[in-house]
Amino acid sequence: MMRTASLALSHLDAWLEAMRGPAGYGGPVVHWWGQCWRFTGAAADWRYEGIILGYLRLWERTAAEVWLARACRAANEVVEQALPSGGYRYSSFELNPSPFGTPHEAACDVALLRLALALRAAGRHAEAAERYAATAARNLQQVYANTLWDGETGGFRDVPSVPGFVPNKQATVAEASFALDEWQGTRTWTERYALPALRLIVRAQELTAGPNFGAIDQILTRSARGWSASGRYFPLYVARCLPALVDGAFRFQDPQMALAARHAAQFIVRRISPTGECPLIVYANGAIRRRPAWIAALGDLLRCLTVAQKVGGPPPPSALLDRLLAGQDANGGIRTAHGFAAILDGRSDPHLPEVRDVLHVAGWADKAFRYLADTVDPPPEPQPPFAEELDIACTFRGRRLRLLELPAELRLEYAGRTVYRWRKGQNWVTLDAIWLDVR
Amino acid sequence: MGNTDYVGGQQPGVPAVTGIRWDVETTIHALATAPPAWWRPPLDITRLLDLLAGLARPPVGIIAPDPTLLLPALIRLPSATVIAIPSGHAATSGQLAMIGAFIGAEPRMTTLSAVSPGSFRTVLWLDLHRPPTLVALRQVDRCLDGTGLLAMAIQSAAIAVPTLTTLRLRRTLQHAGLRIIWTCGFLGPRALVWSAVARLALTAGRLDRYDRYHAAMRAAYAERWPGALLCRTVVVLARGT
Repeated sequence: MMRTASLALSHLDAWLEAMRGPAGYGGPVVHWWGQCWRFTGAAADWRYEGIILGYLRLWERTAAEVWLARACRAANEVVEQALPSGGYRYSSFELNPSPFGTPHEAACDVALLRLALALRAAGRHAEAAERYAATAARNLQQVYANTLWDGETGGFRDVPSVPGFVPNKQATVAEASFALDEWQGTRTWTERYALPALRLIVRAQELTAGPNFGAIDQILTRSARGWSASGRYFPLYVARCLPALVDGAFRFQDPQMALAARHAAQFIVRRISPTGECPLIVYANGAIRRRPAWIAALGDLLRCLTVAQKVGGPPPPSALLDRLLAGQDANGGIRTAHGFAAILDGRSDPHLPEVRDVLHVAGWADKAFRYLADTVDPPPEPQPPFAEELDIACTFRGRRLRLLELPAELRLEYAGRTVYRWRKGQNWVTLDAIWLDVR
Repeated sequence: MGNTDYVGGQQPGVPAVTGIRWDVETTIHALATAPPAWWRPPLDITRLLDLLAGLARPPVGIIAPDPTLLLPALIRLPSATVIAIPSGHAATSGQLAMIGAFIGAEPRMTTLSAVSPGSFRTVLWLDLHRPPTLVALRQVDRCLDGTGLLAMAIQSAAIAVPTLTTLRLRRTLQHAGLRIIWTCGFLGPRALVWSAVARLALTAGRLDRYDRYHAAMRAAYAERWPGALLCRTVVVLARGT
């Protein structure tokens, strides 16, 4: 298993190299509630969190300079996207192209700051470290603190004029706040922002006895009548709350945060099937949406559940890693999910995956990369991208397609005709079928 | 963190109409007070602009008095030039400053009368509620080089009810000597039905069904011609001949 996982890491690194263009890691995005298929430019969204921290970890574990070079290369690409406002130009993942994406910009900040801290500790690349930290600090100050922070509520909004607060996004900003304070040698960000943000996450937790005990609601909305919850629990996003809660529990010596993390981890593990499948959404009304079930993003489930063990959370089931590794294709890319066709109880062939299942997305694969970089035997050196064309039969809304991927391009064919083509490195695709044009 | 005063550059040959200077405080204020649609544009605007950004070939000119469209258009086409038309309807200097806060650069500006013939390979007409007159269309056509692309988007107040606006626009384009190559629409009757069903599910407390029907609405969002006649937002692509 470890040899397989180590190979998987090596192959995933090779695939990530094939997703690069002049400005960085690009590609289409698929997501449960929307896609970004036409814009494929390098995006300073959460893909850089896993990419930078994954390469950083490989360097820390092996001392091989090539990994540090890749981490710094990626960090430079985020810095290049910084705007005078402090935001990052294309940071909105499935909502791209657009700046001010959440939690994406904070996720980039976490990576920039952790890399800066590591460089400073190692006495390496001092100027670059300063630049990375300054870029992240400006984003946190100008976008998060000065624009999105709601001091009355004690949380970060998604949009300044809308009083909606997403717990997993509070968690990412809390992680960035901790890192910024470590860089600056202060406690300002920890106390002024991270602490109330973490308390907001705890507020969103379901504490009524029942199957959803420990779950964390997806969005809290504040109105004159008080707080209201969305009624949705996304196990993946509950997981992304765990590292910040655990870190907060130790920093603040706060047993409530530790308990919240433990209960949340227990909720997630209860929901994971014996085959490692985790439902997409659990509703407060008892309904469960199982599909699409994430594959590449299982890396974050694994990572976050592992962290929660520090406060007594259950270990991540081994089936999660099995499922993650089983989702890797021959070119090193990892499938995004299983079951996108079920969103619409679609007309697609039950024996073939939907195209969104098999599309390899940098911003999901980074989570697998980060986890594997931290846990499996690291490869001795990088290998080049696979030259062979990946050819996968798939479907979309009743039509049979072929997904064809080479290091230089990704395309979809329908009835022998190319209906979608992304030349890697280009910001926009050519798309020649209105039925394929979705967002 | 130092001050980050910024004054946008000027594209040679295309005179800038504004000279906006803004600093960090102004930027933050602009971001914080911008309407929600600036942060998260409506889906029909996003779909429309994604389509056009993929087809556009530089140099690009944009006619978009409404900043809710101009901003996401410039995010997708940052090197485009904004063309002010002589109708008295244009983004204010304050709005342009706010747009600059979002895109990190002062928008390049010019007026229709100042544009040299054949300056653009693509022109986007995004004045959704004011389709061009024949006179304006001929002026815009003059800005295009040879067989450059003209994309026009219009919006009607009604959905699922055929309007004459799209038909008139197509006829006007033809009278101006342009060749229509494609028409499509966003948010038509199919999407409207799914949206209504989704809201019913929400009212009934069935969040799970709301999510499914909302996904169905997004999947049914685009319509080809002639279904585009029934859509709220219609895009017509034409070329010079």
